[in-house]
Amino acid sequence: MRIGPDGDPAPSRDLVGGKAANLARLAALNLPVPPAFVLPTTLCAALNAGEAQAEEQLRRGLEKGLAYLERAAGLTFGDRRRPLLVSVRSGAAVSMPGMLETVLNVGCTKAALRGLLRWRGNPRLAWDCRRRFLEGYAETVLSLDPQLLERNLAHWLTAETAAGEHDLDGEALERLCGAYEESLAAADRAAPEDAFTQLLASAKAVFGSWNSERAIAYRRLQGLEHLPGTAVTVQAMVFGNADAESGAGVAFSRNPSTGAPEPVVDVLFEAQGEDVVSGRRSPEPESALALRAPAVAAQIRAVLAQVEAAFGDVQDIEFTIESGRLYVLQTRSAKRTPRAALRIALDLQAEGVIDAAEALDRIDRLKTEDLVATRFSGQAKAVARGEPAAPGVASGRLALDSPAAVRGAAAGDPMVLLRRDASTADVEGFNAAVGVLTAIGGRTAHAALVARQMNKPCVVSCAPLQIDMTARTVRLGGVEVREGDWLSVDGETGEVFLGRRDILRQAPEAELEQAARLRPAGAHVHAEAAVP
Amino acid sequence: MPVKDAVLEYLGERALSAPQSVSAGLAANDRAKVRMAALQLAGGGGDPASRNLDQEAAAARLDPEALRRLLRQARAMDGQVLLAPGLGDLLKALGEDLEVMLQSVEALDGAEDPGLTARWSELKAGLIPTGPDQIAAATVSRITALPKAGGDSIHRLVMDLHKRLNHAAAAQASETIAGAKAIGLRPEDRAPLLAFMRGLERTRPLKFDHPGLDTTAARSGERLLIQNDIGTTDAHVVVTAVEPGSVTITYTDVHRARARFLIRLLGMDGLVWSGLEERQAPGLAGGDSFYLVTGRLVSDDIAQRDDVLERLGAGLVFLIDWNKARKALAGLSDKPGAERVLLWAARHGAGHRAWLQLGGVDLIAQAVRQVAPGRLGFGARLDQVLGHEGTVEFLQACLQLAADVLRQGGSERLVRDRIGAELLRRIERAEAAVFLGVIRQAGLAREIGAAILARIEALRRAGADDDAGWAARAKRIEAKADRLAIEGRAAARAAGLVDLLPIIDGAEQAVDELEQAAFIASILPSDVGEAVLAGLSRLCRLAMSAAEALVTAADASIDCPEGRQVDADDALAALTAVVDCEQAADRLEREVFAAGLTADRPAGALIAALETARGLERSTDWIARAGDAIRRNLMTDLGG
Repeated sequence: MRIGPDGDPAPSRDLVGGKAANLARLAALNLPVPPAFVLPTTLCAALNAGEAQAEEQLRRGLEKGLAYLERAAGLTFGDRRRPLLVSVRSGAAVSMPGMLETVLNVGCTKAALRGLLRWRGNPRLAWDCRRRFLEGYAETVLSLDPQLLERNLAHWLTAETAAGEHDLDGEALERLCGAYEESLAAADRAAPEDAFTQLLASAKAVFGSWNSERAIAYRRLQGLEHLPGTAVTVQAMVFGNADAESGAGVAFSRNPSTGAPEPVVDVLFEAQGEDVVSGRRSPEPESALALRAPAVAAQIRAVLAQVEAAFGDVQDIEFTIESGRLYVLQTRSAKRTPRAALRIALDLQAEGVIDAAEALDRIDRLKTEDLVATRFSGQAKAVARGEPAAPGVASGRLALDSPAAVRGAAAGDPMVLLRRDASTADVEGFNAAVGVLTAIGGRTAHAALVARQMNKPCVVSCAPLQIDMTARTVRLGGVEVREGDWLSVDGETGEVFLGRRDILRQAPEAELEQAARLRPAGAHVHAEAAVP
Repeated sequence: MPVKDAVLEYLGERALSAPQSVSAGLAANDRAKVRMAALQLAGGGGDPASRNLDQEAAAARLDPEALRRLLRQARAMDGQVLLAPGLGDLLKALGEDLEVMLQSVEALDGAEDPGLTARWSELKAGLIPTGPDQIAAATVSRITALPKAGGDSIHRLVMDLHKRLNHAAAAQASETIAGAKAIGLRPEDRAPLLAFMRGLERTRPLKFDHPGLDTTAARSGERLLIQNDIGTTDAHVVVTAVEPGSVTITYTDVHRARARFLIRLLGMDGLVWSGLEERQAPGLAGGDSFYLVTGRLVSDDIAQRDDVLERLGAGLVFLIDWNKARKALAGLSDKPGAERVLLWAARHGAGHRAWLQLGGVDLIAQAVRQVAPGRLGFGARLDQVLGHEGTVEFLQACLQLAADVLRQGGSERLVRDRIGAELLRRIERAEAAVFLGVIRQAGLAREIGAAILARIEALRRAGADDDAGWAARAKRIEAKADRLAIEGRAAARAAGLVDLLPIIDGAEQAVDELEQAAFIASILPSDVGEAVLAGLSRLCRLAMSAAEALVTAADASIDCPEGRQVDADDALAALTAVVDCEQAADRLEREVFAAGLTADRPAGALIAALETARGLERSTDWIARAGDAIRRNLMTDLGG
């Protein structure tokens, strides 16, 4: 199924997944969407069940889809001169952020690398794509321990006195890629030199990730076990890593933590999408974008307004900027806190985007206890400060990984989960904990989204945080804290406190009253929020 | 049984049956060889304590103790006389060995050979000691030498007798097993002989038109002896003795390098080699020294034994014409290179015979002439164009091509064409490597340009300069680009690609100009005015575009010789873009200049801005020069 100017504008979500369905609608709205095609969820079920025809269907689907992409983009997959690179992404009927796999820069063979050099004249871009491809392919498709390649990166960062991969110049990246290939060869593995083989293996890996541990856990926790599988969307790559006027980011049409009618934008320059949503780098806010690329910043606001109106709900879009041109890669209904959901529903109704019945429908799905706002009583001095990612406050015993959080919760203790970067592999820990704290990452990272939806206060990007996993201690703003000690986090202010603190609870009286007024006369009134 | 008794026993019996004659004669031959080696060793220089023939002595059934004592205590007095304990006995025994060999030949022939008898009479005197355990030093070399033209020596007589023994033995009633003449074999001898012949037959085709490689196998006492005469021109032979628990390979050669080659080819898996130790060419008058090399496997493992035999059989064909091939190859590369090529060719089942047969050096010279003149200057040596390593690899490929084509019955012309194509490919690879280096340089130039642009944009936004270390990074990039230029030039010169040097130079200068501009931009104050800053911003983009176009042109150039029309088109379009950038940068620099002069700003700020503009503009000049050189090279490729 194709996505683009001549694609189907309203395909079935169940068949093509939410991501592709939304992309199709974006394309129909004439928004700048890179061409794409989708392999349906039914194929996922068939492949994972080992059905006889499934492999053949997969191949044919990929071949047809590639032919379309090549025409639409004017490039050729695996070409020596004008290469097409693609992203291979998951997308179930219901969004499961970060739970399934993605492989980017697929088709970046050595021949295609020469093609990138020829076409763009930018060696740094070419080698950065190759690096990203090798890293992603090794981890996702070859299922290799990321450490295998990462230790090369660590070595090169030191050798070049660079703070991160974005600081490495093209020549260093070229040699890093060579080191990656040697590491792979030493482990008797290699990324295939044939572009189609790369694509086939990537698609299979994405389909296969449907049955990964964390995906199964997420479906169980979110009551999604009835879904048949994920779709796979293959889309032409846009190069957010091309130059200083390029980047990637995430934008919400309204604040997903508070529901305030103000967009929230996170952007990373000279980066590709995964850098933001993986939570491994800390992004910059809209003000930075407005300064560097005011036209793009304005365009993003316009796009946000447009999609929100079209979809009738707050949207979370993924975008990439290539040399000053904006592309929208994805949109979905934004994961929001219950309180934000309440506020948003009321605002949208007041603005006439949705009617009262729809607003009440959304509101009634919220649980009363989740609408309670929490804050700390009394005053205390923060020992550290990070970026608020999901509102509310939490006080609990420190857990340094998911199993510790789960164990502590099972024993009846409230647990605060503390991680260096909040990977979605920690979903069980998120669920068990009462609050989450990370050293790096942004408030638009997958992990923050999940925390928000689970209504757990979350603070990210808390820099003065040094974790020692062997000793099971953390250095927090100069103080050493052991696993099991009490810690308190404030998801509104981003502050972190030592010790246990008392929590005050408050129901959103004003909003609940507003909701009540929407009900037809005589209808059941929403019970006053009990303050436990 | 003590050795001497065995000899006497044989000598005493006139009516020897054929197998016994062969056996006796061969055993005597073994002993004679070791005794001559001992003489040579004792008479040579070096550290007496390191002299060792234990392995050889054991193989020939001689008493190692006595021999060791002789070797270690041998002294040359005044350089004239050699004195050693047991020397008298050794010379006597050597004489007896010759008698046995002579008798054996006579017994097998059925008649005396007057020629051989006469020679022995002449040479006998040379074995008489001049005093108790003494002999003239010069006599030693006369005994052991293998004079080339006309001369005779005990050693030569021994070798000739050995050949006659083989010949006579072969003429006897014998059976043929797997192509080898087999005399008096026991049932358990078949397996090892078959293993040897398997190897031999596998590589025999690589001998092509050269005669040789005949094998004779005979049972001699407790041992199976397998002998192969390798080629026919060189009087060198390899004898392998197989007995329960061990295999001993005895190989004599006048060329140390060839003996070393054989050892390397056969490898050390289980084989212990001796005989190649430092044997100084004796400071004695005349005579070539020879090398008696022994490889011994001690093992009860039948599979291992057969493996060694098979490998030996398979390796012999590569000894034929080895020295001839080495001399020829050394003329194209050098001696070590030649030996590497020969070893590679043997290991890869190609060998050197096909190449020699198809013309050897001439074959390559003709192929080179075909490929030249555009590529290789008249009189240029191969290693000037391909480098030492490249030449070795090329020669290896030539030997492989020759063997492949000759095996398939192809013609000399076909090999010549293929060799020409191979040479062309390698020259192009060297060119490609230079262009890839230029791509790296241009990429780094682009990055410095991008960094300057970021700085200018930050100044325009009047935002804080959030990247403190960027100028230092630009400096590091420049240092890196310089290293790339040095490496690139060395590689280009090594490959004789002097036409490409201006491209490397142009790219290097462009980087230098940009780094200078970066430095000035880093101290550029922001109050230089929007018009000037806007102009600088556009200049940065032009410099970056120029660098990008250079990358494209270089990449397309790599493909051009073999490539399609689109490659030439891409290259030419990119080169046009380079020129366009240079011209636009020229105009823009003047605009910035004009804007700067009309702006009412502090002089210092303006000077810095104009210097930045100049550096950016100059980088496009240098890139244009590099582009020019690429165009010239391209035209040569396309036209010539």
